[in-house]
Amino acid sequence: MSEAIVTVAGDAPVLPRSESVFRRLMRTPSAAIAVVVVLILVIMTFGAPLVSPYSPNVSDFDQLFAPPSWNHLFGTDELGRDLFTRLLYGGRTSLIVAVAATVIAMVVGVAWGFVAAFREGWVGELLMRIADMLMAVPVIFLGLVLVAAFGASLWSLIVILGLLFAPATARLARSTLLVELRSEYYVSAVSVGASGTRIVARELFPNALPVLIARASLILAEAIFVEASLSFVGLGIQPPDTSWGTLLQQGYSNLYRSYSYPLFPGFVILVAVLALNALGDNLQKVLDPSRS
Amino acid sequence: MSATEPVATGMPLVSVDDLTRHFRPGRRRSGRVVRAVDGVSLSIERGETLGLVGESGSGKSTLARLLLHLDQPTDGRVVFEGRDVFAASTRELRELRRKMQIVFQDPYASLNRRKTVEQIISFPLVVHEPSLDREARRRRVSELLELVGLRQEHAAAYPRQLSGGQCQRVSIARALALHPSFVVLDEAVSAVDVSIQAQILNLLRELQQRLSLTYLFVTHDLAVVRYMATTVAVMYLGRIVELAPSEVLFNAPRHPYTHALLAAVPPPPGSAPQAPVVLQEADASDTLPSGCRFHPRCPLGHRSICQTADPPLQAAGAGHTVACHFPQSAESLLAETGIG
Amino acid sequence: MTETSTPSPTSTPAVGDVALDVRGLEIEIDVRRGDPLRPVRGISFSVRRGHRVGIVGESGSGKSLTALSLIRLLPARVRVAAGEVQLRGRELTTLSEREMASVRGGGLSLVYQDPMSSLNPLQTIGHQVVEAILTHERVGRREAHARAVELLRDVGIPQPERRADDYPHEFSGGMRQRVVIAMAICANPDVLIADEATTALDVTTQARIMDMLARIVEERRMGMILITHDLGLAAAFCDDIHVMYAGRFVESGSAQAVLGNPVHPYSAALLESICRLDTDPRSPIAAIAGQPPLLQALPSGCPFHPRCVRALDVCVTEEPPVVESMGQVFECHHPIGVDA
Repeated sequence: MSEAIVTVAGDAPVLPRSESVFRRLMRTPSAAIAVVVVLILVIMTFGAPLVSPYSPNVSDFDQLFAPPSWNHLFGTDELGRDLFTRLLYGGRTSLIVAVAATVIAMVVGVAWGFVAAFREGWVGELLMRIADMLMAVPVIFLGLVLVAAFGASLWSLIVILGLLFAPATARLARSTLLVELRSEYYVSAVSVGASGTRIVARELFPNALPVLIARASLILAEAIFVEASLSFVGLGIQPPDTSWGTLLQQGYSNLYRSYSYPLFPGFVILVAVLALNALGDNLQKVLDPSRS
Repeated sequence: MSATEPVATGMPLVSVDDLTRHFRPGRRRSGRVVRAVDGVSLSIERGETLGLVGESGSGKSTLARLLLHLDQPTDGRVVFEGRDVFAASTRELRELRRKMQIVFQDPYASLNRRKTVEQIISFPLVVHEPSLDREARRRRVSELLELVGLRQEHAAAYPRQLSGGQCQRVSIARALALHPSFVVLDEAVSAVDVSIQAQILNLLRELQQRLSLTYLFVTHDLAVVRYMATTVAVMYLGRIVELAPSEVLFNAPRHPYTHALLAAVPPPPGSAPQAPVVLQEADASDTLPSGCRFHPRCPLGHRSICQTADPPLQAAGAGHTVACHFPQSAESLLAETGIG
Repeated sequence: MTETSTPSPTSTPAVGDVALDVRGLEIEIDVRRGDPLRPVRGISFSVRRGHRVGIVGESGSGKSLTALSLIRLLPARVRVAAGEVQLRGRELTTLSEREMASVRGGGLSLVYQDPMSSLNPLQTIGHQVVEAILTHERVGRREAHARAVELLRDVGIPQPERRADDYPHEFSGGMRQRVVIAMAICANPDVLIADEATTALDVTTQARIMDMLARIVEERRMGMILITHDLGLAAAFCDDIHVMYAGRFVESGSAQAVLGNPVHPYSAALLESICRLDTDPRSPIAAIAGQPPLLQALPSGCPFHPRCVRALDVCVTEEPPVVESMGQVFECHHPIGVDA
């Protein structure tokens, strides 16, 4: 310790790295259950041929409206088709539509929000006011109007759903980016001489990403719900495709013939939405404690 | 003249001419103006350390950022190594930024929390020297870590794993990555523990000698500025009120505000306590006082000229300028007012 | 300044009565894996009425947790593991939450560093002071308002009748802190704790607020605990000083003794490493090597030994004994200037 000039900082230990996001997530019981449920849903719907011996479209006219049994876990429908199998295959459609819509919502919303954050003048204000106006209209109502206008093919449905959720994503993306723009490390990056695009891409965006990912999970939940609602009133997925919403609708119209028919689609929708919401909430808490 | 050519000897490294920065918070028509920096002129010679002292609201941090064009001026010029900073094109500015760097106050906020120390320090290299391969960058980072007194193991750490002092060293390493000639230290040791402050100040001095750096040292701590600076400028409400070589400023200040600042510093432990200068507290309003900005708080400020005329910077000795109608020595201030 | 507006305590204690007595205070933080951390490992001190005590330490010393533990506002997972805290003979650690709530403000008050965290930006400060008064006294609103105005005057806010209707953002930082102090003393606590209360303020403002606190403490015969990292401030203001390091008081004594003749190597090294107005700019500062220890990795024996120039072999293996000598209390195997 006899250095004349003390400049070295080395000797003190460095704090240990804190545990990974995944581990922290799995520690909360609700999050752990949510993750497991979502995984089960995904595996079962996409692994439908392996899970169920039945085909979704084959009728068994001896077993119309059969109640749940070991042969038919969820019973059968009005044409004797196994409901469980139809839910699995229908789930594929629901999930694919929801995921695709979420991707569109994220891409459009993030771009929208980032532009608004950078152009803080009247351009940014205008973009946000448009977002506000769109958000003021109830989602399902707006969805109905758009579907009535543009038709309900699979792709138009995906695009419409994506655009429905874009404004809220834009607001979030903008406020997240604004926080990063006000931070000192951003000014540091500018002082180093980095160009604007490089800074956004390499410094700001990765920091904004976790919050956006957490929100994606919530959007996914809402997408499933809205698709189901639209399909329920006949303006969503069209036959011969099935989704959870169409199955719910069919079950509803046959309510007096089979109590269990609408129960299971409704239950599956409920579980999926709950799980994704729980996952999104917990992800938000874990990834960005300042927002929880 | 390109940015890499040597500056003609005799020309200051940084020259600031009537620099002004006004903010208009709130609605445009409300007319509220915050004159954060209001007509500041100074020059910084190569190899020196200019200390910029002031309290909150003095505009010192705004001035520091303006020098690096991290903010938009309302008026005025900054000439760095012979080049007009505000008139530079985007590309020219990028080149200039290699030579002038800044270290901020908050050790954690100025580092990207998602990047490792290695990534943070090599960022300037990635931006300006894309031809360097990863190995070359790693070597340079290694050099820099050693230069600032960190260990090689720190390269893989994240800012949250490091202490405040260690983070400031990372900031300094990053600032030095491209061999700058001018470094602005904006309250760089204010947020660090007292015992670490000494380490960092020693480090800064050593680096200055070794790398022939020029510093602008912004701080509110008079003792630190006395230690670090060769020349000191005192700022008040956007203006420089006194500028002098360090020894002159501390031994023979002339501006009443400087007297008040010096008197307010708690005396070194173990020495006799002194009566503080009674200074009216600043009001939180945006309207600048008429005449001399300091007059409402000045023990001499009741004189009519102080209330009507804004004093310009006038010579008060070799290299010493004061903006005051009645510059005073400590003794004469005491005699005039019974305080000090 | 009017004594009549402040309620006199039911019994009139003499200056010099012990107001707060802390014995063997230990604080623990529960962590998920492993043994709890121990940021405070057994400290004892007392505060008399009219008496000013300073606790000086850097980050990680445990000083802020000490303050919070006295008024029992520790965050989750942090708790008092051992020790007694007696306020005028009454044990605080065993009180119910309800009883403790009446002690806060009435017996013990705490003022923090950031006034904005104690003030509601949406209410006038007059309203907030009145609320503080009404929490502890059953008086009518008009009476409370009158008292609030007097309190504001007492803490040095000019034109208090008018300014009571202003909102916090219309005040400068120093003024806000005065308001917070007014709220803290409105119920005449026995002891006022100031945790870095002036750290964020300008040095001139700090000087004035410390003067005001000194006057208030004397007029109301309150005990005061000043928690700070600023040795100079503690020296100028406090009667007694405790130097805190890694959760223990390494040296305690009168301000003059500790700062004029430090016995513990940390106190001495800290004094040497502080940049003062009289520090010689020509040579490096005598900085303390290394950094304050991490709670997770406290060194064995004396926690200061890795950074201590006087460390002996025994310092690494054994915790130092507590020694009392000539009015100073310290813990060291190899103290300065004391015959071993």
